[in-house]
Parts: sequence; C-alpha cells; structure tokens
Amino acid sequence: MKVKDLIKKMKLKVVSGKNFLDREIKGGYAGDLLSDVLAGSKEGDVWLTVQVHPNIVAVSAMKGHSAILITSSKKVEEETEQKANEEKVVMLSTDMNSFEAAAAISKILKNGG
Amino acid sequence: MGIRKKIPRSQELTYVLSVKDAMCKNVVTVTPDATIKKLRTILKENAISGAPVIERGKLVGVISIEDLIKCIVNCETDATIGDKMTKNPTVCHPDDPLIKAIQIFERTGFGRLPVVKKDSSELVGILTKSDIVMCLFKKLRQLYETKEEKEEESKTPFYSDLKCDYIFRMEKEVEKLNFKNAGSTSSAFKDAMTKFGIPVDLIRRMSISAYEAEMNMVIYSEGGKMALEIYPNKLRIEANDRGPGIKDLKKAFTPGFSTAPDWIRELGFGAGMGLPNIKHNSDRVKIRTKLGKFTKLSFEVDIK
Repeated sequence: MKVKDLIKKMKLKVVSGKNFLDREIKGGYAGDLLSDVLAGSKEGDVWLTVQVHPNIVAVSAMKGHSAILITSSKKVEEETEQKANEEKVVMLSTDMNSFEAAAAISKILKNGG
Repeated sequence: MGIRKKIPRSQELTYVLSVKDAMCKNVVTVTPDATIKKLRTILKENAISGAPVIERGKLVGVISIEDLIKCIVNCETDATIGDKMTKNPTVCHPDDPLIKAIQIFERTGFGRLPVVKKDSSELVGILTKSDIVMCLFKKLRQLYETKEEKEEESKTPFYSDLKCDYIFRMEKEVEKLNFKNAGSTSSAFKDAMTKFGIPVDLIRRMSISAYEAEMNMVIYSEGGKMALEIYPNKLRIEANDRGPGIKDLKKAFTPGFSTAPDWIRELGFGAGMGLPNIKHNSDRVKIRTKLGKFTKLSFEVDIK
C-alpha cells in the first residue's frame, strides 16, 4: 500500500514531503526513543511517534522509512518541517494516539490496503 | 590497526574524479535511419572508430568500425545503422566515479562508453580509455605543480601524503548540547559514502552508528571531532571528545543503561541503546576513555 492510500483511508494531514506520497508502506513501527527506532524499525516502515523535534527527520532518513506519522495531534516544530522537506521525508499527522493509530494501520495493512 | 597498504595517487584519483571530469562533450552522433554507407563517410571524416546512435534526443545504440567492416564483408552497406547497431549499450553516468567506468572497460573490453544522464537516456558525452588517461595525467600534473609550490614554502618532501592508507577522509566538529545541528555530521558522512558508491546496507549501518556516536557527543560530552575514513576494504569512523569520560564502560555497553537526565529522555534520547547499537552495527568497535579527559571511540564496517 502506498502512503497516499493510507492518508486517504485514515484522513491524515500531510505535514511535509507532499511530492513523495507514492512510497510503498512495508510495515510500521511505534516508538519515541530514537535509539530504539534506529535499532528496531525497518526500511519502508511508517513510524509512529509523538516526538516533533528536528532529530526525528535524521533518524527517519537514515532508516529509509516510508513516512513519519505524528500522533496525538502534536504540533511539529517549524524547523522539523523545513528539515523534512529538505531531506524528502514525508511527515503525516493524526489526532489518534499511537496505540489507536497503530491498531488502525495494522488492520488496513492486514486487509491488503 | 587495519592494513597499511599504500594507494598510488593515480588510483586514489579514480575514486575522487567522476566521469564528467574526463568525458568528451563534443560527440559525433548518427541516427538509426542512416545507411552503413553514410556511416563509413562519417567515421572517415571525423577520424573516429565508432559513434552513439541517437533518435529523438535519446541514446538507442552504438555502432563501431567493426560493425562497418562486417557489413562491408557481407555486402550489406545499404542496410541502416538501426539494423546493425548494438542496442541497449552499456552506459555510464556523469556523476559515476571514474573507477566505475574503468571497471566496466576492464570487464567488457569495450573501446568507448556513452555517458547519459541518470533517469533519462539523454546523451551528454562519451568516454574512452584515453580520455581517462588524459584526465588523470592532467590532474596529477596539477597536483604536482601545486605540491611543488607548497614544497618551496614548507620544504616537506613531495608526495609525503602517500603514507596515508585511506582513500578519503573528512572531519567534522561536534558541539556540546547543540541539538539544532545534531545529526548534521552523520548526514554529511552518509552523503560522502553515497558519493563513493558504497553499498546501501553498509552506509545504513555506518550512518546509524555515526548518528548514535554524534548524539552521545552532543548530549554527554564537552564536544569533540568526528572523522570518516573510507578504505578500499572498510569504512571507519572515529569520534574523539574532550571528556568527561565514561565511568563504567561495561555498563555503557549494556542495553538500557543510561545516565541521561529526564529532559534528555523526554526528547527521546537516553534510551541506553547508543553504544549497544554501535556495537550491533559494526564489525569492530574500539573505545578508550579517561575520566575527566576524553573518550576515543572508533568503529569499522568491512566492505566485502
């Protein structure tokens, strides 16, 4: 399933990287500890987090995630948004919390999009 | 540590220079609808032994003097170039390191390589072995001349830098508690490795470790320097800070152990996974630390 399909299905807000929504979502990872995400997440994952500072962009770019999904409507710092656009990192936002969002995404992925 | 292998300057340059530095930009091209007879005139007039075949601005094949000879022998000089050319020829891109083109020449025995833009088939030049030799020669002469000038001033022996065993090194300063810039060193390293055509999985492993080392330096140290070194057979990063040193190394390598204050943890750092992550992603890790003085960390990933 592509990022843009997930956006449609979950009514997500696009925060950055609007030109890269054709990326394929291969799985997901939820976590707010950056080292844990570096260690555990995989390429193509959509990453669910409440962290909004610029360092999340570096982590996501390094791992080659398909997108970052900011949960609980956390407001993204302006600098993070700017850096994400520079690094071609897609950032999405939802008012669901990480648990609800993970459950929803996992259901959608299971049903083959 | 590591091998002490001397790399000749000319070989080092083949990694640093790209195809666009060596290629010839004025290319004589032919179209697929022209006849072999016409090709003969074109090759003769321009004193060349082959030409790329272009249709509507795109590269569709190459044709060489060998093809021409075959056609003459078989009395097929009225055939079109399109029929006799080599379709889907091997190409290289302007930003490829020269070494990549050299490897293609070695592997295939081709005389020339068309240079096309990445992601499109637009021809931007052509590269022959003699272009590469000329380019290296020019660059070496330039280096020699600047070296000679420097030598006058400093009286250091010419080519003293040949003793280094890496083919590339870059160094960056990492500032204490500068979260705004944090990650910029690891991204710069990542870009450099990408430019050298290092396999993606190795880049990823090194980048993760670089990021962890950089964040450790930002969060815990008084600041310091990080350096990336690319060798023919391995990647190496060193991170040297100005203290305060690590009290208990064994604990520092234990997953989950962290001395981070709450406000750092709130930012998502201080998971106690930094050094364990580095260890996990590297083939070799070395660390030396002196309380109140420094921590010197280095890690390597082998290029296989």
